[in-house]
Amino acid sequence: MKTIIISAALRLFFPLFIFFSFYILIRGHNHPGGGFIGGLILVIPFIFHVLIHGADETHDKLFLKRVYSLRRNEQESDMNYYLRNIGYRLRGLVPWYSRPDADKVLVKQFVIEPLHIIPVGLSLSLLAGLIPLFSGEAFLTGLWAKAQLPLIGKVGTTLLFDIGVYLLVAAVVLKITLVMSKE
Amino acid sequence: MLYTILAGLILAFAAPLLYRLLGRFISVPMVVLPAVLFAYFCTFISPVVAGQLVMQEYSWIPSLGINLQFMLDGLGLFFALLITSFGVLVMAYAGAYLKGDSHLGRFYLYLTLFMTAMLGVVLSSNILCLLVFWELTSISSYLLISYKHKYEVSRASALQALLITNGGGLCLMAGLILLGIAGDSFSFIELLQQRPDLLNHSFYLPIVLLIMLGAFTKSAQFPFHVWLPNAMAAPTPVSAYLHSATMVKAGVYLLARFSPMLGGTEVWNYTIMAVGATTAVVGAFLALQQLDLKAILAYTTISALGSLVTLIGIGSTFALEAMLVFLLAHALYKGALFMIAGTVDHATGTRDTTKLHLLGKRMPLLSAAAVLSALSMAGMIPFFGFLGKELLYEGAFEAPRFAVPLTAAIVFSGIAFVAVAVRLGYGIFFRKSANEATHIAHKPETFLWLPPLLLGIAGLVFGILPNITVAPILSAAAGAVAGSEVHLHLALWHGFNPILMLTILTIILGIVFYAFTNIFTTWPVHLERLYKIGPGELYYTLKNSLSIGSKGFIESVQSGSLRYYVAVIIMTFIVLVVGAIWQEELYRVVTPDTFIAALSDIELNEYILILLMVPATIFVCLTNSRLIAITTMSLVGYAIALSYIFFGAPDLAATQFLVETLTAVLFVLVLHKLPPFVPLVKYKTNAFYLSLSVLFGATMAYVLVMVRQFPLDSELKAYFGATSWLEAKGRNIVNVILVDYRAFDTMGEITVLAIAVIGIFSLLKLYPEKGDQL
Repeated sequence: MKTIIISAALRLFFPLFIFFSFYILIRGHNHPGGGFIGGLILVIPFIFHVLIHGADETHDKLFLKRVYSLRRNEQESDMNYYLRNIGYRLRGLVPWYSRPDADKVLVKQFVIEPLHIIPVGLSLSLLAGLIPLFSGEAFLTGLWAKAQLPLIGKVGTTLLFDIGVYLLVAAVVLKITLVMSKE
Repeated sequence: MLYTILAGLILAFAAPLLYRLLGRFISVPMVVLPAVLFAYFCTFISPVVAGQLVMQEYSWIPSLGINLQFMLDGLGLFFALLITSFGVLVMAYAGAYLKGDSHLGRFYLYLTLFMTAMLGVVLSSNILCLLVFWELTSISSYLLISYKHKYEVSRASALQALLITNGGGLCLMAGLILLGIAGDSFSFIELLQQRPDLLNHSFYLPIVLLIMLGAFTKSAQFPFHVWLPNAMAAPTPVSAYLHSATMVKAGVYLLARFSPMLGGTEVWNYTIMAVGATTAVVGAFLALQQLDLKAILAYTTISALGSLVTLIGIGSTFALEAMLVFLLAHALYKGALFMIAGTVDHATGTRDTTKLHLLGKRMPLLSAAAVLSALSMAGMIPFFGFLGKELLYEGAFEAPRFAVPLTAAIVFSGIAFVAVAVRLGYGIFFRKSANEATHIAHKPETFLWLPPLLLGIAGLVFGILPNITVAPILSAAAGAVAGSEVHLHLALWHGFNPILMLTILTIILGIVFYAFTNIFTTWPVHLERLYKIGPGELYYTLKNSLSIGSKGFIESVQSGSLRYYVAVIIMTFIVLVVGAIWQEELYRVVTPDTFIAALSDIELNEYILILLMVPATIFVCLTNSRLIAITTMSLVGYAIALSYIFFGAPDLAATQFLVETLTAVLFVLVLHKLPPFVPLVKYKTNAFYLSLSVLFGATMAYVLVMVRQFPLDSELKAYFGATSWLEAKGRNIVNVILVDYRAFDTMGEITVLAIAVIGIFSLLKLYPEKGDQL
């Protein structure tokens, strides 16, 4: 189902979905939203990606992070080379900018496995439960920091708990989607 | 004390990482931890001996009465010192014993985890907290026994130990919960004060029997002793630490701990005495017949545990003192002998006593350790074992009832001990024989002979100077068990009394038994038919029949058809609801008028929902296309989400919308892989399921109409509304319930989600090729 319109639209909407899901997660304590809904929204662009490009390409493009450097020119000074590389990396952050492939070298390769995010989310939630134990409260008692963060507002262990739920739900749905759409 | 436990847990789980960083020097931090803990507990000696009770409490689940309560009294301190001091020696020994093993980090993880769990057991004063640590010792023991997991023997032995000790653990859990209900508290101190009430409570008998089962399985009492000899499949440091010095004594600890609360009755005393004495005799009898070094030690350990349990059963203050002295003596010499057996195995490659000859001259320091420990085990003057044995005999001899059979049982076990001690300390090291001296592949390094030698020397020093070394802490421990103040005075010489005669008799008979070793070791062949009906075979019969039985049960219940499962659930539901309505005569509330009233309440926008849902539902049943069925089902789902909005639940509606969409998308992803839809089910079956669905719908509608007749007032709703913003700092009550009020539920739910996805993953990924790895 590779259509150029959805594929182009997804490029634009991808960061939007991610920010929106995070917004839903943060506002959850006072308005409709929260970790569960936020997590579900977070996976929407990924699922679109799978639908458009197929699971293998999604895996290669979104979960396989390759770090490239430029090929070094002959007799190039260190400074110049580093500066060129920094510019090259920065350009990589712009979603619609495709970099020339000819003169780059693979430096490192990371794989993000959704199955591994599940325990991370679970441990964050568990951690939110364990923190109050140190101040003598019962397991999973909500504790709140005195200071407020800009944009996010009050920070407490319940937010940490919700972030755990958010990550776990997103990873669970993502993993199911990836497994099911593979041949 | 929470921090000692935490330090243990953290270091345990860091062990594999440390092994990667430090290589063979990993034993350094692992030895340092128990050493530091030992020093820490030493600082408590003087206050505890002075009679002080050190308590600490952290709330954990206060609403259920489960708190992390720690208590350090004489008994707890005695065990904590025993655990940590043995921890130091065993950790050092293990580093040398398993040198170069690629899984050493994992081994230290299990071993430290065990040490921590054991400390938790002896420090807990909340009985449920105790149970958690108790189970953790079983699990770490399982992991340690199956350490050489490539061998089937190791795996089978580990499973046997786990099944037996955890079976006992389940009984213990039931017993402790009953105890908590009977005493209306889970705190040990509070329960202790309610002793008179508990003794007359109707739950007393089940409580006592269940707790005893837990203790007997853990301490390998007859007929549950079978797991202990098999557990010798574990590496020797484990046998020395868990299966002789500490873990198997957890059962003894438990009985000692509860004896001031529940003890002193006939059931308690006679049951424990009978089981303990039987175990002492059976263990001694079986120990004489073994050829393998570790098997000999395992059976004598069983026998010693039997003697300890017997002394608890006798229950007099003197017997309890004797129990603690003998416990320490036994831990000292048995731990050392296990390590010596391991070193011999390490050096020569065999543990068969018929193949080991004249090792003494070539391993002088090891043989010195062996001689010291063996002399202590045989109960020779002036070793600590002598004191232990004297008190043991005296305790049994002065028992208020059944003194003669008890003394006979314990003396028999003592004779076997002497015979075994001569075999271990003299037979394999010095005895001149026609056979050639056993070849020693490589000489033991320092940490393979030093820990047992230290233990042997400790046995000698404690024996000569008991009153300035161990007597104060032993008195404090005995005081905690007896429930009164105890001043223990240990002396080597008591004059010519019957006990001394018994000791001399024991030694003479023991040497005679030693002379007939060759005859005893042929007995297993002759007694084969007896052992066929013994508890060992019984275990395998039970285990096999359990797996056959459960297989049959699953095959009859689990058909594998989703439709069938749903039908069973719905039918059960209908039967229960209709039964409840019938019994409570709730059908009186519902009249035709109430139906009409309910119908007239429906508003226009709700009619639209009905118009969406009902035709869609009917259409789903009739269509032959999967794609259409899925989209129509989504329609129903969206209509439900809409209804949530109408009734003012935006969170629920948003979740429902998202989940509905995701379900449809996931279905579409797998749709093209499914074979074309063919209606296979017969007309009659369909009719049955249709009528079942209609019946279910009708029941639900009836229940809803009925519920409307009762006023809906919920205290919780008001409570949540009142406190959500003020206490939980959130305006969205639904979310606050999820992450704060009911966070524990959410925790459970997300855990289930995680497990479900692992299940889905393994089903889809691993099914095609069997033996595929995750």
